[in-house]
Amino acid sequence: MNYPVWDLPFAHGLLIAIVAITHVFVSHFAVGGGLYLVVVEHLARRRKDEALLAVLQAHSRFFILLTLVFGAISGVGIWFTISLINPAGTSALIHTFVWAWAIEWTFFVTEVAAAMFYYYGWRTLSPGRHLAVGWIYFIAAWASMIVINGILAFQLTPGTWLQTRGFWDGFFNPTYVSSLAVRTFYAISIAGMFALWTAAGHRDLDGERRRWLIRSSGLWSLVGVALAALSGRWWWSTVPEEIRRLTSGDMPFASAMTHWTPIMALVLAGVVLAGPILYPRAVRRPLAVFVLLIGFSVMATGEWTREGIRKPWVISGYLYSNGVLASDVEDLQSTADLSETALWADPAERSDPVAWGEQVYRVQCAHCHARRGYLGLQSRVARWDEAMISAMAFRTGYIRRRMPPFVGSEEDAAALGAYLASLRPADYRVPEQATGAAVFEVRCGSCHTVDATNPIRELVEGLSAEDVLEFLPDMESEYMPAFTGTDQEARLLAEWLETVGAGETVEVSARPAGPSTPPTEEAGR
Amino acid sequence: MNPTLIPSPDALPLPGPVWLFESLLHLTFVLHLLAMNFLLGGAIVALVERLRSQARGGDSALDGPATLARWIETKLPATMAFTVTLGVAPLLFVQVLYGHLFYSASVITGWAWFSVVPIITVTYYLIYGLSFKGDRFGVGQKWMGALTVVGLLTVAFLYVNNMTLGLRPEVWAAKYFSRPGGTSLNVDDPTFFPRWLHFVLAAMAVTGMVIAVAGGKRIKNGDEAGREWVQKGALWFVVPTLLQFVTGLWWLIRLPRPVMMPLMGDDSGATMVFMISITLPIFSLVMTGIAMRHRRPYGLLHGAAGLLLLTIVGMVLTRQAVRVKLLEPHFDTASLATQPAWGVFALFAVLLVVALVTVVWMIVTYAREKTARA
Repeated sequence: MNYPVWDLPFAHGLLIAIVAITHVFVSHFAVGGGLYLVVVEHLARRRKDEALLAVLQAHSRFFILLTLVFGAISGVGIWFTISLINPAGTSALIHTFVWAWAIEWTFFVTEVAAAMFYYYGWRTLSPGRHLAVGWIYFIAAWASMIVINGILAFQLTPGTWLQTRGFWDGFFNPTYVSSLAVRTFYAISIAGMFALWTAAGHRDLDGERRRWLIRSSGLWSLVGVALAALSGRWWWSTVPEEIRRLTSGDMPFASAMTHWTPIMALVLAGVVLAGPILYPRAVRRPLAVFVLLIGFSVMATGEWTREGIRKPWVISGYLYSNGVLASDVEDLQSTADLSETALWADPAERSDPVAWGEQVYRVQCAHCHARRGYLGLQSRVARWDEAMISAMAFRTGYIRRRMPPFVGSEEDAAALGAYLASLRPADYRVPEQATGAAVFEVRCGSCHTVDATNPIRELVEGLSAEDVLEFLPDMESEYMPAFTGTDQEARLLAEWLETVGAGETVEVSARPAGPSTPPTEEAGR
Repeated sequence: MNPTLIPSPDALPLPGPVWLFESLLHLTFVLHLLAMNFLLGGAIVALVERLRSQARGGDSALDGPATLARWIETKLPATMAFTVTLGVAPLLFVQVLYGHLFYSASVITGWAWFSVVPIITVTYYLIYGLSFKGDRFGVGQKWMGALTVVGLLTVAFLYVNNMTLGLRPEVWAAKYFSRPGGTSLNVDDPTFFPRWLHFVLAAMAVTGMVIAVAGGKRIKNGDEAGREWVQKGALWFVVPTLLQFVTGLWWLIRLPRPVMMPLMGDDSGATMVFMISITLPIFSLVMTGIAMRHRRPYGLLHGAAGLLLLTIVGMVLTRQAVRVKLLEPHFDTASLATQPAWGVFALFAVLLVVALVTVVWMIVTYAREKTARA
């Protein structure tokens, strides 16, 4: 709450995802592709194969145009983006790792210079010198990965840094080595994918040489992805258990992503085996594009998983996604309301609950959520009455999908409720013909499941519908909101919970679809 | 009336003393400026020389202006690469010291600041396009050259926008609360336009000096065609530099009095640096003027270029004095907590030396083998 929040019409994460995932794919190519160039150049020089050298030269032009321009600028772009979207997180990382970044910068300078001399040196440098420059490039590029990997892994698993605040404790953290292995091997796989693109496009090469190039590119991809998959399993085992548990359903999107990464890696392995390795003769550019797309999706889902399971933190255990320090939460919750603690909430709006609620939304929610669309709050509150929205907002720390705790007063939460209610359509009530399971999903499902996280069955075991109805009016507590549904909802819920408590197998449908009428412009301001 | 909102500096201490970060900031910023000046100025000069050559009817022939333009165009991709790499370092160090101000200004002008990334990417590809295109200068290349200049001028505008807003916490609340979507600009800052112009003209002047020195070197090596470059480069240096006195004065008088006065005698250190920085280019101008008529201009031009470099250093220090004064009511870097991590710093220092040695080795090797082949 120290910094202004960029109020975007969509979830901040999407902007990061676009910049970061494309960057990460290209920057891994910048590492693996450097190794590929220099290794194959060694071979070509030894065989005195001029045609192969010409292919490499063309490939190196493509390589620098992609990595030096798009790769380098999108890398700086990530920095621009994270400092716009999470200044507090960026600041904490920079204060902890400024020397790491400075070290990475020395590699970056070397890498960029070496790439230029490698490309412009094909005709100028002697073979030995040219290869030396190629090795300098690869070593510098990999070294910069070695550094950045430390910072990325730190965010997820800061390890003993949380106690010591020591640079090396944070840098060599529990997932450091395993994630470096994944990144390094996948960089090799990506090198093969782009080499395949170049090889497939060289129609003028003689058949044997073309087949060799295509097959070897396929092998780079296959070996790279296989080793990356093994390292991926190792990485997963180094991720703390309580974080891994999140992907068993509580965070649906991250859960899906964790499954998609290995599936797409398997598809990638299958395609490169069936195409370039076994039937190199048949390989054309479209297949190379297809391989690149699959390769990209492996990377995208993998990175999405890593980002997803880190929630609700920017730096696990230290700084929440919404820029609140874990160590400040207690003070913020006990001292005052947001008009005193949130610098960037406009005090002029304090008197109007809806307007103040929007300020609260901005300083507390907008780091991750949007008003509508992906991660939009409109759909999340679409079936709640205003009192429930406020009550849930006040208790975000208990929601099973892992959110930072709310750090304002009850009045702030009420204002937030009023604002979010204004985004919601008028006919928000659960339809009369809804089932008890649907009411459960709306009223209880944000925190409870039937048998998994916060299992409701244990709580209602042996209770009758009447028992539940009796309990509902008194359920409010620190972590439970009051029941504010209609009598009809209460009755449906109670009857359904009786069957759950009796041990019957039940199926919780997805939450009932939101009302179809769009909110008015006025309500959706 | 909106209050002045200033985030508190980060809770984590700086892993090094303030003076060290300040020194690294200014050192790397000067290096960035050198590359940036030849990039922006070079793009402008190349375009103007191309158009001039075309107006003379020298469309495809490599006449004087076209040769010069080509010489610059082939150097722009590497210059861009170094502008970016050398720009990353000051961007890092400025965030260590002034992060809370920098981030606030970034968010308030969110879209403008973010747009630097796509604009630079497109401009970078245009620069490679210009460099790879060869000597023909058709309609397509004309537009590429023009768009490159527009792209770079826009990026300069966006940087000035963010950097100046970071120094004006008193206007943040009004700007942010009226446009929380990050669509504000800082063009209402009285120093905005003189500052932007000052940087753009500096880029043209430095490029002119580079061309003149390159011409002087050609003459030294017995190539009389270098004379035209000396003339041209000198003009590109002299005219913008003369205009710099106007934009500089404009900038100066737009500063609030408590910020201006220290440069005008109230603070002897700052005044001295500022006055030297204004005086040095006068010597540069005179030396360049003499060099234009001199039979062997290389030495004179080298001297003038050296003075120009000192001017840039002096102006960067002056800029820092202005920053400190503008921020005085709000923030002083001396208030930052520090807890130096000397071990990691030492590793950085060693690796920096290794990087410099490696890069110099590559430059020397490349130059030597290129000459050997020629």
